Amino acid sequence: MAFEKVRDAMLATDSELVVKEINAELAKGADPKAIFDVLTDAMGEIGDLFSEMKMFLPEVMLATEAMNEAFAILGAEMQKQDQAIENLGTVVIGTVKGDVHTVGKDMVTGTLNTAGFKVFDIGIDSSPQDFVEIAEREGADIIGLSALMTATMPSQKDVIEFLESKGIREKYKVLVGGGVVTQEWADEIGADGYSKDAVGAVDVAKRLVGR
Amino acid sequence: MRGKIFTYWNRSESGPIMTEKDFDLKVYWPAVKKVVKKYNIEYNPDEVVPQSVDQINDIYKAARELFLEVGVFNVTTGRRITWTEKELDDTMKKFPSEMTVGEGRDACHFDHRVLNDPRPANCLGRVLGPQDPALLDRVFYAYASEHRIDHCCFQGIIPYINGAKVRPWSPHEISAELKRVSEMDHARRRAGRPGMSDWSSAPVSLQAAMAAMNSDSGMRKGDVRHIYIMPHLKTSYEQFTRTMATFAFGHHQWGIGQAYVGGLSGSPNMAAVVSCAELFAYCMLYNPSALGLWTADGMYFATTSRTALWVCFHAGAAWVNNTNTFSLDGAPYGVVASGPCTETYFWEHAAAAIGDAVTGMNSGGGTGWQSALTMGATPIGARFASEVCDAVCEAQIGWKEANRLVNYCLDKYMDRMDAHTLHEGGKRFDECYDVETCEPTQEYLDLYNKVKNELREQGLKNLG
Repeated sequence: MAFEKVRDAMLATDSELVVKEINAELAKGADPKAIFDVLTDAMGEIGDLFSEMKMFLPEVMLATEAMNEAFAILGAEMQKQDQAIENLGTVVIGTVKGDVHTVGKDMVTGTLNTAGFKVFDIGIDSSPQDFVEIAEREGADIIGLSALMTATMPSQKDVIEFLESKGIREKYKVLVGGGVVTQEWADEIGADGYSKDAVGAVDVAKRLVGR
Repeated sequence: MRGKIFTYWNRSESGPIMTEKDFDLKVYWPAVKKVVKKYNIEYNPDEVVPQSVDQINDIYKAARELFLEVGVFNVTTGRRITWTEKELDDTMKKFPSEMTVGEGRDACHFDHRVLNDPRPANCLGRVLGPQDPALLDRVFYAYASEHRIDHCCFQGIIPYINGAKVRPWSPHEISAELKRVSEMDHARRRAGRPGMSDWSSAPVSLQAAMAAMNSDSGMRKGDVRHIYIMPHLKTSYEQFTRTMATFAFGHHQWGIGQAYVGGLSGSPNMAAVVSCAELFAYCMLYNPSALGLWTADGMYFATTSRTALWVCFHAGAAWVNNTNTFSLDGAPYGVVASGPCTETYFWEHAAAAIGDAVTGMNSGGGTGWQSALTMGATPIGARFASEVCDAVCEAQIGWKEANRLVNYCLDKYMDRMDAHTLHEGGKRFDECYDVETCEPTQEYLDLYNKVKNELREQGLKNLG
């Protein structure tokens, strides 16, 4: 298998080793895009293992860090060679205002990252302005809104209304989820997508970006 | 005050400083992996109920080492609070082996339980998830009048009040909390149990919680409020402030080990160690009057999956066999995935109660639909869990037979849990209870009796 050491380093979620192996391959004149593709496939494997609860969130977080470090090196090389850098899309995700629950949002962040999305996790208790500022800055395709409690579900609606008030609702697909959230609620507030769990969120996000 | 919690809180200002991410990935996670490897703690999916005392003792040792190495991260100050072995041992030696919550003849007494304890266990009822405000008193009354329930989280969420949605930190949140406490107090009085303890943690804001504490709304000194250790091994000044508020008004505090299998907790064997370590955190930081284990799957919210039950039973047994604290509330900690008025609702409760019984924990239940859908709380789940738990305790069936029975129960629903569809189906409280009498409908009772009969056929002959 090509770049097996790079792949193995990624599956070991060892960012230092990933960087070392990438640099070794580049020094030998390897195609950065080919290395990037191997890493993307390895992230997909990690995502599958995560969905099957054979790998766990800390490992996904470490793998994401390793991928980011790899991307910093490979992205620069690919730009030099006029190679296109592709991901499935950019997602800004967070737990909405008033809600400090983090686990569900973290799990979705993990599955989206490993599926090939570029994910910006803005944390918990996030205001509509927080979501919109980061989405605008990063050129996001999707805004992901997590709410675990009945009391904080209206904060998902706030984000959609804030987007409308700024005249930028059509720029983003809004994906909602969380323990108490249902498809009916998503329809009621005009969200573009809903997922009950972290695995399903990947399929919905892919559909939203037409992939 | 037991222990030196204020001294320990002050370490939030002087302990090692770091980012939360560094705590998760560079301190906590390597330490979890290290202790699990050191003690060779392995997950065997076929042995949901522990089969080895050595293994549960190793889980306890690993948890103790994890706690001492990692400590607790205060997210407010970005610092770790750590303890010496002597400090931990001194607190655990003096930690109470019994506790009473509630008041008068309705008080609920927790004493230390042992593995395979033959005595009947306490039963926790939980009203969780959104409730129709017009029917809240009916749901609360149904729980308060359920004689098997000893203590109860009357925690139904009021989604709207006074024409407004109830949002955190809004004035409506205070109104909703005052209404909730008032309805709860009336329900327990009408049920003839005015001193029954309420364990709610409904409001998000401390202000709303304090409004009910500091008023004549109906809250009593014997009531208990939730203080959090956040996943994993984390706290904040917000939690210390909550603790101070409960101290100031003379209420009790409850806390739970909250493992999310697959999430930051990692694999089931890791999650068992983490859950146990979190119980140390409660003892060292919050002076709790009640402890429990609330283990859930990270990918599909369920406290009764094979992995979640494995974690709960192993962590619980580890704690019970190695400490002398008052007893823990065990799985499903009040919530199951199936909707009310389904057969699987009872199988989930049975699986949890059987394991609780032989690992020395208390039983409980009630809420279905993953505590997500409106009016999904029915007290018959708690009744059923309590009956099964007490029958198992009395029959002294041992770990091997308990494991066989738990696996029998799991076979009834794990395929749908794996497919993430177990929450589908079921009926609201007002569709499966008579809202006047607050008794379950015949259809619901038929399902309850069907599962009971099958458990008797499986050997639990003393199940009444």
